Amino acid sequence: MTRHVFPATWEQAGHAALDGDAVVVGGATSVQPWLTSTGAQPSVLVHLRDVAGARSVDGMAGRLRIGAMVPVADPALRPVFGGTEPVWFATPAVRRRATVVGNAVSPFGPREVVPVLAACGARLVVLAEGGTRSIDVTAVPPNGLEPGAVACAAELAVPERIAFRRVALRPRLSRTEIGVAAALGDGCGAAISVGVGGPTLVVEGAAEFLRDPAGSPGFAAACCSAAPDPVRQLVGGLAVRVHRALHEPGGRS
Amino acid sequence: MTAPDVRAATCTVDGRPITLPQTGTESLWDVLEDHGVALPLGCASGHCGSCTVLLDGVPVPSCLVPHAEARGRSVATVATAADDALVAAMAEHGAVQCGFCSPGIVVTLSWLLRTTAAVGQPITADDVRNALTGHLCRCTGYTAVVQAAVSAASKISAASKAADR
Ligand SMILES: Cc1cc2nc3c(=O)[nH]c(=O)nc-3n(C[C@H](O)[C@H](O)[C@H](O)COP(=O)(O)OP(=O)(O)OC[C@H]3O[C@@H](n4cnc5c(N)ncnc54)[C@H](O)[C@@H]3O)c2cc1C
Ligand code: FES
Ligand code: FES
Repeated sequence: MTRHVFPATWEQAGHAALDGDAVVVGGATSVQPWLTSTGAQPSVLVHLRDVAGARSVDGMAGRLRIGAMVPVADPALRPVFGGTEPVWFATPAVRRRATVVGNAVSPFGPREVVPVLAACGARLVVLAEGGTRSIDVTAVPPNGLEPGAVACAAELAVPERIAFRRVALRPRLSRTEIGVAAALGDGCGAAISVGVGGPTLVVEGAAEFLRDPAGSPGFAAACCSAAPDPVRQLVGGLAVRVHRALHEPGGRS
Repeated sequence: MTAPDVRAATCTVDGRPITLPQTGTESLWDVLEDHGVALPLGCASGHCGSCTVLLDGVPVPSCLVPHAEARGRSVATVATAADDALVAAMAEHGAVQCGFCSPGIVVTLSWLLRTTAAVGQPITADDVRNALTGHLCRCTGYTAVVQAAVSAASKISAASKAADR
């Protein structure tokens, strides 16, 4: 029968996660539907809810450290989402529980927060058997972190401005088919996502075009060159809109 | 070495203490049902909102919560979380038809009213529609639900202003 453990420290969480086929539990918004629909019986569920510091958002010198239990709806994360709650993500009840870090590492997908995090240069702090390491948020394999690994936090730059535009069936409760996110600020840049649950690709060389109010064509070209052929035109169109949003007076979203 | 689980596996449901299982993968919804607390279950995956309860005062679909996440917490179902003014307004506006979605909607909208109208903040139809995202109703088309919530909100605000005077 599946046991439940509630570690109080990251060290305990790391030990617990090494136990058999342990499954780490953040907000559980993907874990519980998976358990219910598949009847999976992992040996142990490692609940992060009581780990010291897991719920905190710490800001220092223009950077944020987001603990593993911080939900998408946390008001402290508004600067990352252009000053508002990201209503394009899930439902209000899910946003209040789904964690940013869980989204970035989930093997269940679709990891829709990742393009926004990547535009802020986000990295994940991962605790595993070999010690603690920092990895780019876009570098998590599709099937998640390796067994036994626990992501303790995400670290990213607080953007001066950020914009995210996406192609989806509807503005809400629809998956991102194609997304372009870009941010202005130290350590910021741009990223695109292609396909529902597809990879997020960092756009190289975007920063110089992003700063320049006349840099829209250059930015669109940089985004297009990162995109696969069939969707280049769509990505280019979104990139122009993102660039415009970054330079609109008062534009933050 | 794994961390010891020192927590007693209990929570309260509508003020009544209940014992949660020590092991297993069932959701909070399953455990509530085992204790005779009947809530509708639509999708079992967090999409329809019919199973919504308050967990430590905040709405969540109970099918999304591993039972162990409820340890040490308070759960309130529609039985104790419903706002009387909202329930009356829903009846008045014809906002309940088959009723399958209603317990979840009442829990979420009562919470919205308590956290806004009751503390003097205005509520618009858009606020209500936003709160209803994640609650599926196949019968009403939502219009009557939105009207009922806005009407209840204005009654609650008026009452709270009168009480402040
Ligand atoms: C109704 C509904 C709507 C949704 N809408 C969206 C949407 O619009 N966009 C989107 O991207 N997703 C969506 N999801 C999926 C899910 O809610 C998100 O991916 C969420 O961010 C996952 O975070 P969590 O904390 O709930 O993860 P959990 O469910 O707790 O975990 C997910 C996976 O990640 C692992 N994990 C979690 N945290 C850690 C950690 N700190 N270290 C190591 N492993 C960890 C778990 O072991 C598990 O494999 C939706 C889900 C529901 C139920
Ligand atoms: S049954 Fe829980 S949200 Fe649908
Ligand atoms: S009243 Fe029938 S589903 Fe809403």
